[in-house]
Amino acid sequence: MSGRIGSVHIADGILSAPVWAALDAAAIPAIGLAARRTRVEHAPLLGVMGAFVFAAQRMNFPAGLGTSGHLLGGALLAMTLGPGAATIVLTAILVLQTLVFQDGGILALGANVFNMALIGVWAAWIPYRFLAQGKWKNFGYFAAAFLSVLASAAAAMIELRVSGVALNGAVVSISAAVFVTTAIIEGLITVAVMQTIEKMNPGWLQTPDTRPSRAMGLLAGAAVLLMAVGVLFISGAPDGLEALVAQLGLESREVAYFQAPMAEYEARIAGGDWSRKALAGLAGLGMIYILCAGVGRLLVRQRSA
Amino acid sequence: MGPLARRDARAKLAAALVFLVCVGTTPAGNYQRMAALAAVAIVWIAIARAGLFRSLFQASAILPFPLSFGLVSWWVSGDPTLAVALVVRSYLSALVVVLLMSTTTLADIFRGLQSFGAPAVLVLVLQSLTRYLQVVVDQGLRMRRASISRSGNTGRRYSLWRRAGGALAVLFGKSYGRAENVHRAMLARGFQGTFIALRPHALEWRDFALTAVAAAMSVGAAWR
Amino acid sequence: MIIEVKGLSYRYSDGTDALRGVDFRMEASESVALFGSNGSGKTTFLLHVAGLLEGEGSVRIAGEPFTRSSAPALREKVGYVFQDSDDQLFMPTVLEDVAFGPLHRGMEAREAENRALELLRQLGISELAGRAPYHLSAGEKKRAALAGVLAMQPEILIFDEPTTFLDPPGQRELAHLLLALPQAKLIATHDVWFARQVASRALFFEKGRVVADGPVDEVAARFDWRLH
Ligand SMILES: Nc1ncnc2c1ncn2[C@@H]1O[C@H](COP(=O)(O)OP(=O)(O)OP(=O)(O)O)[C@@H](O)[C@H]1O
Ligand SMILES: [Mg+2]
Repeated sequence: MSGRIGSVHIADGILSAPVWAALDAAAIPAIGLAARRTRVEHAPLLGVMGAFVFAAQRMNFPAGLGTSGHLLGGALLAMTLGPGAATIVLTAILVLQTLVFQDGGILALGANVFNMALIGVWAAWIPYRFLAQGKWKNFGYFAAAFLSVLASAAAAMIELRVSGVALNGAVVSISAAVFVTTAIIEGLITVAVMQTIEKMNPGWLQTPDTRPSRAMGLLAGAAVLLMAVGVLFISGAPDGLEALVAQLGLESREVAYFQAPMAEYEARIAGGDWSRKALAGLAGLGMIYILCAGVGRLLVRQRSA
Repeated sequence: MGPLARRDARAKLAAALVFLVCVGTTPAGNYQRMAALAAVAIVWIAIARAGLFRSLFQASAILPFPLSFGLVSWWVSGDPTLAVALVVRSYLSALVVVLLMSTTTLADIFRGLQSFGAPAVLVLVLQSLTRYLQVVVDQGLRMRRASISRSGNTGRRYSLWRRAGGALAVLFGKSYGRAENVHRAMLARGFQGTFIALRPHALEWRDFALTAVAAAMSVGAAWR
Repeated sequence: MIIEVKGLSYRYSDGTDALRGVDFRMEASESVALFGSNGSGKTTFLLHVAGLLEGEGSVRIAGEPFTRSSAPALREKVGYVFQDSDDQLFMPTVLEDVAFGPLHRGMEAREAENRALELLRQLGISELAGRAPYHLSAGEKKRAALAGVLAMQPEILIFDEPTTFLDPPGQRELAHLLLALPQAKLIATHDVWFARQVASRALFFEKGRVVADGPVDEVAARFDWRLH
């Protein structure tokens, strides 16, 4: 199940502790929210659709020069199941890829969920909402899929950069070229599939309750694109991150460790005494867990009340 | 069946998590700690009788990712310390996931996740995804074979794409129909919106002991 | 009358008229085969009898009509064996799958597990309890699916093309198995031999209507409904 060039499943051991911990902490309540908005009786549909994505990844589309691409599926899921359900399906896919196929890590699951099941889904959904109806539909499918892939990849790059992986302009440019190619292929495959799905049964597509608007769609798409490109640029510029932080006047202590490569950060927190850090890490995980369990229980109580 | 296979998935998940945190917080350049954690992983593979070489080999599937980013980082910064750390940490983490998976069934892991507070919907989706993965993949491969034998794998690229896109859409439709039937099969057998699972196992003292010992070893190994 | 259907019509969301006014009555002691070409509406009809689709007209089980509130209880009286066993065996293991019905009727977990084990034993597949459904043979899957349905103790059994994917010995075994079950049965099939084994009466479907109703051999002969 490898060979997913252009879609970055971050493994464990790559991200620095604050990065994976923060993203786990962000992803868990987001998944909880998405789960709360998903009906239990839809579980078989979402599971089978997850299986469909795996199957789709086995079907090659000739991309020229003897290479081929395949569907990644994030945008397709968002457009057919809706963003909340798509988040759940993609999370399940990521869990399975991590456990069974060694594709992505467990501590890095939060990061991968954040990149693909949240950013990847919303980067597709936001422009699609406005372009779903009318003459620009096909462009909407393409934009959704293209942006989904590009935004996910940009998020992964900046996470790596913040974790202390040294990147420069050349590396990021090459990566960006790969990402853009993948994103174009994803866009074209998604258009081909969505056109037929739409013909077979229009009921299989989500019809957003937003009023269709070409201008809003283009604006939203451009915003997502700009953000993705900006993030990619920052992750490649020498000291780009540090420059940005300085420019925004954020040089407070909270942001300080973003600038520091990992070893430095760790030395700073605990003065080389790692045990306190590990304990802090474990305590952090524990707290995240208690918080989420508590919030989850509250939400459940609220719903049944 | 090794001794770990009989232990509760929750105990093993917790033990694995502690190990992963110890690995995930190891600073670049701390080779002593990396070696100690590697020793812990190998000891547990031996205890589990999971097959050392098979496990080492399986875990190496992870290597391309840390290697590529490690090499890039080395090339850009001129310092190999981080590259080594990425590779070692990734590999040790993968090793423990391989061990977890070779001693625990997926179904048990999912049940364990649920008792750790994962949303019920997510766990159900994981279950039906696992259940229908092979079914749908096989269906897709059959369809592709049929389509290739009908019209060959040649033609203008545009028409190839149309055909492949059409085939995927058909598979999508069939998956939709299958999901409808699965839902009907659940309704037909009394499902009314809440899911009830069989056998919520009680944890034994051995499960607690496993987690405690494993956690102590991981933390001890990292204590330097 | 265990089943009473009056003026049943159904149109799928894409506009296909699958049923156009079907009337049907059946006694608890009967077993009825459903013939008809592909797409004639057999499956759609069976789904209505099991309360899994809701069309125009009425479907009564033992005198009681399907309504939103009566549906869950009535569905328990009707056991449905799906054409594709993979759709039916949705749980991770055979044991969990067979116990699914009893558990969701409110049975204690321990009791549900015992009931499941007992049924697996009756159907001669005890050794499959811990297996994952995907790796079973077609015949084993059919038996496991049947066990899951019988665990609900239904009064009516519905089979949608039960012999697809089964080899001839598997088909013979299934016929024996069905004959030994006391429930009223509705069986959609393309196999006249199989229908003759397990049913005395047959319906013939054409374009969403029942165009013949009588003894199996008569209906089959009238439509020349056999291989040679
Ligand atoms: N989910 C669906 N959506 C739309 N149309 C459907 C659906 N299921 C069935 N149909 C259509 O309804 C009609 C009746 O189908 P049905 O499956 O009831 O026929 P059948 O007699 O069981 O056929 P077969 O012998 O092939 O199983 C057909 O024209 C079929 O194409
Ligand atoms: Mg049918």
